Amino acid sequence: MSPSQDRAVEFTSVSKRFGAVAALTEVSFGCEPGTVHGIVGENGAGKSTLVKILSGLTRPDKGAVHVFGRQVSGRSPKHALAAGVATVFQELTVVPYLSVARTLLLGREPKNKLAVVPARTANKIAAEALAAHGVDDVAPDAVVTELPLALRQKVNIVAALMLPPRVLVLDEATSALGPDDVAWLFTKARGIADAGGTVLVITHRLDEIEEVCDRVTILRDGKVVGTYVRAGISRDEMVRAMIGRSIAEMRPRRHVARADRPARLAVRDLSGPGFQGVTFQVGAGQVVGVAGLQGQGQRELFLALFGALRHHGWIAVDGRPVRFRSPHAAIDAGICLIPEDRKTEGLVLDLPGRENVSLPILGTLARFGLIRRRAEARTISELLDRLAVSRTALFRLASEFSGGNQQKLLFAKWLARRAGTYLFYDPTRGVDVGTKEETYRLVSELAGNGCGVLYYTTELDELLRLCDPVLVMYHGTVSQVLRGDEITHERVLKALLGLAEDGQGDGRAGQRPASAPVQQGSQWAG
Amino acid sequence: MTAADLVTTVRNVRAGHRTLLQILPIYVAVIILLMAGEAIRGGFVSLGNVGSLLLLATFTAVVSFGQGLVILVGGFDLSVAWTMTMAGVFLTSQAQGLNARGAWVVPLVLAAGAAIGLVNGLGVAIFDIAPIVMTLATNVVVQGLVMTSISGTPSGKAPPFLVALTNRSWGWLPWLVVFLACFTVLATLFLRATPVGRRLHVIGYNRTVAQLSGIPVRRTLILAYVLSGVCAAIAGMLAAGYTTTSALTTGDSYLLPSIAAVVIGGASILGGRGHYPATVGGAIFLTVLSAILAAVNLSDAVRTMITGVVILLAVLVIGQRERSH
Amino acid sequence: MVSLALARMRAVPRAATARFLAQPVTASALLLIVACVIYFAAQPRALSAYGIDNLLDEYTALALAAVGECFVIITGGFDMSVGAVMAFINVIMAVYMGHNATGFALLALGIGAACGAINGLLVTALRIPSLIATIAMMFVWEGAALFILPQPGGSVDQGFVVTVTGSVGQIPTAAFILVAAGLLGGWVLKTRAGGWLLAVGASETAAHTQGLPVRRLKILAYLLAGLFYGAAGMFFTAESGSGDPTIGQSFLMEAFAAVAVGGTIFGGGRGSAVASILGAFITGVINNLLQVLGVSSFTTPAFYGAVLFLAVAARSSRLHGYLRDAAHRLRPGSAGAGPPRSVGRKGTVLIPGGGKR
Repeated sequence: MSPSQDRAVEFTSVSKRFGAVAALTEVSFGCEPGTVHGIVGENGAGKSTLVKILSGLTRPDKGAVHVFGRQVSGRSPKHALAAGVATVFQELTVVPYLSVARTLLLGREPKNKLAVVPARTANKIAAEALAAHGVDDVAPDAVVTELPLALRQKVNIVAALMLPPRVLVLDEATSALGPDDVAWLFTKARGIADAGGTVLVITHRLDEIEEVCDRVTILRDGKVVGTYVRAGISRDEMVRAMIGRSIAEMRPRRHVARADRPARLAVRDLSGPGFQGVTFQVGAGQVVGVAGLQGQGQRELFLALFGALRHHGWIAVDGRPVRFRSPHAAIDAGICLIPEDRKTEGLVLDLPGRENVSLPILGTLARFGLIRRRAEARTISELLDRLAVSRTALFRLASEFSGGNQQKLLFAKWLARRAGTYLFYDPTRGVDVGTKEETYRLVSELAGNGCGVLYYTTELDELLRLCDPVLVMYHGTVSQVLRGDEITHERVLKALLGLAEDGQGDGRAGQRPASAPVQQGSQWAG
Repeated sequence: MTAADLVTTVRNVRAGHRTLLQILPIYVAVIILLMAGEAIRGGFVSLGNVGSLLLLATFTAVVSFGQGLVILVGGFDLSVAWTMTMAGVFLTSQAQGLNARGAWVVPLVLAAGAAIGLVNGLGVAIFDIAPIVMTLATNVVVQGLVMTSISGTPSGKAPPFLVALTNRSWGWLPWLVVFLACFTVLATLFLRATPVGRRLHVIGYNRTVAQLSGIPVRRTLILAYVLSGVCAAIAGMLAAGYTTTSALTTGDSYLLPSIAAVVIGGASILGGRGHYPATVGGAIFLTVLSAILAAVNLSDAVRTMITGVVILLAVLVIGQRERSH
Repeated sequence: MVSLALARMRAVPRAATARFLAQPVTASALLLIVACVIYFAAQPRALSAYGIDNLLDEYTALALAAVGECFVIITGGFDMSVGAVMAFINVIMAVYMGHNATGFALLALGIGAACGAINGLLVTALRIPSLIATIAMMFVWEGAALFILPQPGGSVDQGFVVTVTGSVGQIPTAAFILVAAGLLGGWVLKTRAGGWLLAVGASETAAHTQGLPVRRLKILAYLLAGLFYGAAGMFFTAESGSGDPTIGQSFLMEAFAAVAVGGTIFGGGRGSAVASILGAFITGVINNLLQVLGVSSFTTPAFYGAVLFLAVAARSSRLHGYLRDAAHRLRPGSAGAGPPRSVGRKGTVLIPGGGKR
């Protein structure tokens, strides 16, 4: 069947393997022009591979992708762009050191009679484009990599919009955006669809699908479960299609701090680059939640608590005041951080599971300077069993595992330390429902054993379910602390936007504090 | 290691397969070269000749360990050149052919090598200076210091025990080859079976993960450069022991081979990957190659050109290549 | 909040001045001026027309080589064959030139470009890491040079020598050559393609994702480099008046040093051709200065290395961070933590420089 010229995007029997893992198997479906088409699935379902093939970054082993009849798969990003496919990626692939203007115009810079790129003209064009798309908080001559995450993402989005695209692909593009910016993005998407273009929204967030998509294709384990008209399928049906079963009812199970032991982690007036004056306590057996939109200082807070950023203030672990200037020291003090990006911050994908997991405990596994292989294998096998990961993980490279299993490897790595305090930074990001449940179980278990847990997440449901109290970060400070019955969906959402319960507040929702250039050197400790 | 540990090691064979596959190719290449050598000049593959080839390869192999460590963590060490020369020159001029003096000169030279490495490490880890520039600067500074102190003329003799170590043999087996074997075992153990070795690999693969895993990255980086300096010093002293006197051009002639041996042996120039036995194979390969080229009656010029082409071929076939775009 | 806002405002103007000073060209120009001042003070005779002519003749070849090397380093690679290509061209000209000066001058450029193209193909089509590929080619060209001219010798057409090392009116030809090189090199980096070269060096992955023709750009970089090596070899031939197959090694190290002193960052993404020219002369002037001061030729390398280290360390952003920290702490009543700044997420390496060299 030859690809139809009328279909905006047509996937035909697309298959792709990475080593032993089949990322995509015989994926076939089409997207019509003038629609916003969602592609949903859990992580490991193959969404990002699909996007990479569509954008020309990866070649499929089998099958092809056509855009209005023109083949874009198996070639290069240049061909995809030429066909009118503009992609906003999840991993922000910006070129460092470039200004916003040069980033927006990369590949199609203006040139004067001497073939030189005139900075002023470039800036002007960029400023006009930004204004035309309703972005008013970014200067054209700012260096993109010095901008806060959300603004960088907006620049990426505007760059894609400037193509102008016949097919706009948004690959988890909202992960860095606040609610206002998400609304802005979806308005743009709607606009493109209404004008006859096509928008592909790749996400695992069902509320986004509900908000903006006309049709939705559901992927599971690399295969297409089905393509539906969005209005004709309920959320529960979508979830069932995504995971193959219904999810368990979510009951809030809050943990209460043990009064008989000193607080696992106590922080007073902690300040660092991006946050100031933070004060809170995590009791033994308590799960303290942290909520905040992107860029409100929570990432810096977590890094500082782990010793990876310079900070000032008072920290005590298990009642003893400590000062640490490196993650090494923090770990010795009994704090572990489970970072947000398992692929680039948590695991070395090219090493086998064994070497990844034993990394923090190498010192204890060594005798006379040599690592005891048998003890290593034994310890790690126990951990893997506890987390329900196959023991083949000992020898297989971390890259050969699904996202969920990789996350479990990451947990195993830090559980080996038997620390007293665990910092979780967005652990369920891009993770399938099964692993999410495992994560919640693990957190409860840790709390049950008397550890202290500081838990940051962007999924409000998790906060409601696991955490008490919830610290809301806004503009670098803990703006509100919600306890017990105060922890409701509505209250948390309002707090995220800087609004108090009565709706008062500066309400500059979605706006980021003005940025100063990122500084290297001094604040990076360790 | 207990017997049970050995059993676990055997059980790791599946992972060992991967390692073997990465070490084998270079040795296959060496064997091919040896056969070619035999074809060109009968008697090439005699025990005596192979023994002396392995002996000659030792110097490169030792320097390449240090260079390999630095490449493992994502850098280069251009200062091995004059560190080696420094080692030889100071050894001979201070030891003056006496074992008694050699006893304290050798540790001093090792310390000097470590100091040079320390300076490199500090520049790279603390000041974030590009390794190639930092080690280039150090190399040149050491050159200046050494030349000034000996006024341009190396003198003296290496202590007899070093001369013996590098020149004597048990029949066809030179003592130095036994040294090489021991060194290889120790070096491989260091890289594969110690916590420090593991940490070096992780730093090479992904520095962020290394830091967030609690690895003291700066300290470990500096260690890599210090060890490189020490290895260069060892190699320099051995080379001086071999020829009894020292020369000013020693180090320069080992710099590029040290890098080539590491890359041909299959290490990734981006860091993280690498097996020392393969690097040793690379050193042997280069030594055998130049021996063959010397046996054939070709001019210096042609020999140099052929070396270049062979290196290219070796990398194409065996070495790690960059990701494609 | 008010004190933080004030601190933020104060930070901005300093950042702008600091940024201007940190530009490779500005910093290098200042360094060169300082070095020249010291040199001319120590050796007043050097400040004559003859002296300056000599200075230019001595180091123009290096400056041209540095510009070429700069292009490769900007894209994130290393070109170890710079010296060998120059030596190769040098001996070819010394042996075969006869009186055909113009023809061979053009040939020099052509050979340089061809050598560059070969490097580029090795790196892109065969995907051999640039360091090893160029080391191997270095052997090849060095061997070829030895083959053509085993011992230093040969002869160069006198007319050629005079033209290149002489003057046009009062101004030495070398000056024109340098200006042309600077303009050309600087212009290239300001064009679209030049910007793309910088992008490739800054992040090959990102550049590729944005649809830039990464392979072709890399080949372009090596080709341009080769072109400048050709010019460098040509100038060296005129300046030395003979052929020497062994000049490669020293030019290699000096070219790297010149680029580094000029402020181009190894690792790619930032750099300047003009600054590399200035860098070459900074190292040259310091070399001459040391000679004038009577420093023995044995010790000169030590100072050279020290200058190289200082020039690069001074630009280290880590160092600037430490100094800024110290300044903050010394200023009374400062908040210490500084204004709230956001920190980039992906792509931010906690220890800067991770994986790059």
